[in-house]
Amino acid sequence: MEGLLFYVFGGLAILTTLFTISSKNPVYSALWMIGSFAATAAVFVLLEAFLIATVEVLVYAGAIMVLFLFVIMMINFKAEEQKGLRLSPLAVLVALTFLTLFGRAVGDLGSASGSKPNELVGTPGAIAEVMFTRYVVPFEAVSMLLLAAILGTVVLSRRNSQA
Amino acid sequence: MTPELLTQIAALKPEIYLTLGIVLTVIADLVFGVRGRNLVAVLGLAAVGMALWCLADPAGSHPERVFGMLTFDGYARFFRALIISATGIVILHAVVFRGMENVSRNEFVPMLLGTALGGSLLVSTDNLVMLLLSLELLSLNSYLLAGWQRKERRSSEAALKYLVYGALASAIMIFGFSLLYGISGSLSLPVIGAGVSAAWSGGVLGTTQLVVIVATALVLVGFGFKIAAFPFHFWAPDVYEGAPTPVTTFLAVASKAAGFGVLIRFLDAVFLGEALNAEWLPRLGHVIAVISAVTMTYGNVTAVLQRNVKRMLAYSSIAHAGYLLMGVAVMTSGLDADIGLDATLFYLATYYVATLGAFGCVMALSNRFGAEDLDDYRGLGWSAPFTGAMFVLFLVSLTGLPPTAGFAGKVMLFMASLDSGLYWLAVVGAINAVVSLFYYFKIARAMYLRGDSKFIAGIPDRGVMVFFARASILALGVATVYYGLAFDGLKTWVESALL
Amino acid sequence: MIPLEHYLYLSGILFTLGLCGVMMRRNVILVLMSVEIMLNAANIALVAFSKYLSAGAAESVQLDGQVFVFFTIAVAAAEAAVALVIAMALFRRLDTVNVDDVANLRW
Repeated sequence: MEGLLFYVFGGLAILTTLFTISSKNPVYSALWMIGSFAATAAVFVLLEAFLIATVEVLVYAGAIMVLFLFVIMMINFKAEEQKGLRLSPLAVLVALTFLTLFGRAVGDLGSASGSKPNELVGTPGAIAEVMFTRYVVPFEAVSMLLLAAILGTVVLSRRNSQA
Repeated sequence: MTPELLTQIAALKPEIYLTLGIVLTVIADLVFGVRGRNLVAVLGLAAVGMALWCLADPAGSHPERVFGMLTFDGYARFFRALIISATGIVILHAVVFRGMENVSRNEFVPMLLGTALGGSLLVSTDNLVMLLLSLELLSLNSYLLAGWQRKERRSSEAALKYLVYGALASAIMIFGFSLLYGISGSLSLPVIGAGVSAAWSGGVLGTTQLVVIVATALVLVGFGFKIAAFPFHFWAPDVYEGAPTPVTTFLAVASKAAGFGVLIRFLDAVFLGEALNAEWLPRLGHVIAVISAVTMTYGNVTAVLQRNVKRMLAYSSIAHAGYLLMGVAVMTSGLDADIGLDATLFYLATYYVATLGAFGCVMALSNRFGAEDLDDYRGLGWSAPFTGAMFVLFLVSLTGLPPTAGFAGKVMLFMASLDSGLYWLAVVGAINAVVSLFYYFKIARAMYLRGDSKFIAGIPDRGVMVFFARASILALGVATVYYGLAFDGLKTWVESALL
Repeated sequence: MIPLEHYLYLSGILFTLGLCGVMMRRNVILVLMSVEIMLNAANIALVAFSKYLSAGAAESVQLDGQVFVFFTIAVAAAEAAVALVIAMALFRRLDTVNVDDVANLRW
């Protein structure tokens, strides 16, 4: 059952991502991408990373993609600019090379490291325990990162110079 | 709060002062607006000054390693001093820089402090999470600052280009991080080093060894973007030219130092930490040596063709990244890591002084004469004797001629690569130094030998801040000559910074 | 029980698709979206590793991968906001989002 679900959602993720990068209309791309994130969230649930799955839906599919959709709507696209994938042999070659190399590389990573599944489940409590003990400095750093992003965004999007 | 936690926090004092500076400058800007221009700059400079003062505090008042992921050793102190002091000098110049809109001049200071904060955390950390976040703090601020002149199309384009490539580099690097995590089961660089060497010696090529290679390649691509090494340099010239000059200065000096700081710490912890990989490490060293040679040759040869002085200095900074990589190649070639590291850090310090000074002169000339292209520089040496003479001095140092610090830096690099048997690399470096003489001399020739030597007044700038900006150029000039003649002091400092 | 490799294959395929998007699309917004896809692929690998790798590593290190993902998502959000504001600042004036039309942005 779990195996079946993984292949269904994994396949969905690949399919929707394929549509995302190949759709001519950016709005369709953004919508397909929301689907891709939702499928990824399902994969996270199968990996018992429940908090990450929730955040994936809330932040990625919810916040980030809505932001993208907003911008796509605000910048009016001219019809002739909406080109789809431009296949170039070099790009295909790079992609295929990488995929082959990567596939061979991770081929038996699981058995090589003698892995057995982790018993810890990614609940909010378990994550919080790690995040607020070992990773408390990075957590503070994130606040500075977001402050900088807000400040810069406000300055760059100011319409006119009101001195 | 336990006393132990307090001592750990005490180690973060410079960063705390920078953060305080960010908060206070934002508040001062909100309260006083454009009128508070000097106040904001003074607050920013005070934060930088306090941070530097805390750095000068002798070690021992706090533990070296805190929170399990930040190491405040001599190495971190060296890089933090470079990054934070460069930030101070850039703030000084930015306040009086005419090519920037007054509306957004105030917010410039907290953004720059944020960048310095990111850089200083970046060179201190040995944990991938912290590494990622401080790198992003550095990068996100840099993207925004590159586009700070909203009315200039060039500036916005530079920001977008920088951002697209930077984000791509981060994504590739994070994917590499995930593989490193998979190999070792940890996010801490020393543990990753142990895991990598176990995977390398335990596996046969095609399985786990291939994972190590793929992960290393992905991470190095990310770092290559950040330090603008060939073939990932292509964003640099456009960004350096399009960004406001104070930002360009920061990118060329502080960002580059931070990039090298983290690259070297990464290589050291992951590949040099365990005494093994006798076959793997020299190969990595050779790859880096080839990248170094191509990077410096490309940078220097392309710089010869440029007319815009900022763009020329951008290519020159790509070339200098190549020189710095020369030291990194020596470091990883497996013989004696310290020789290479020593030379790299020394060269970085001389590059820092000369580049900061050269860009300071570019800003001063642009303020007064609006000079941008080589043609605009004609005869300016006679009209602005102080700036002109200083500019020539810094160019001499960048070329690597005596009696400047740049000469000592180049000699150390070449000696290091000869010592470790990389003869061809030393030869390439020497040829490159000759090529670089061409275009550096072109600037000097334009200033003194071209055009007529009659006095052009330009728009002279006055004020306390201008005075201090001038003084900083003078100080950098003095440092260039002083460390060229008596480089023992600098050498001692560098030796205290070895990993 | 699905083997670890299958999660990694999924992650690798998504990463490659994102890479293709970056290399083959001319629209800046789409390029940025492709970068988000690549980040998401790295997230899958990180979570999969944190689920499967308990052998060898110290007992307490096991959820690190998921915490990393948490931070990656925060970074992605900040990056997206900054990217979009810079793109807006440029394209409100230029009336195009085609990479080729921005002289400096050809690659």
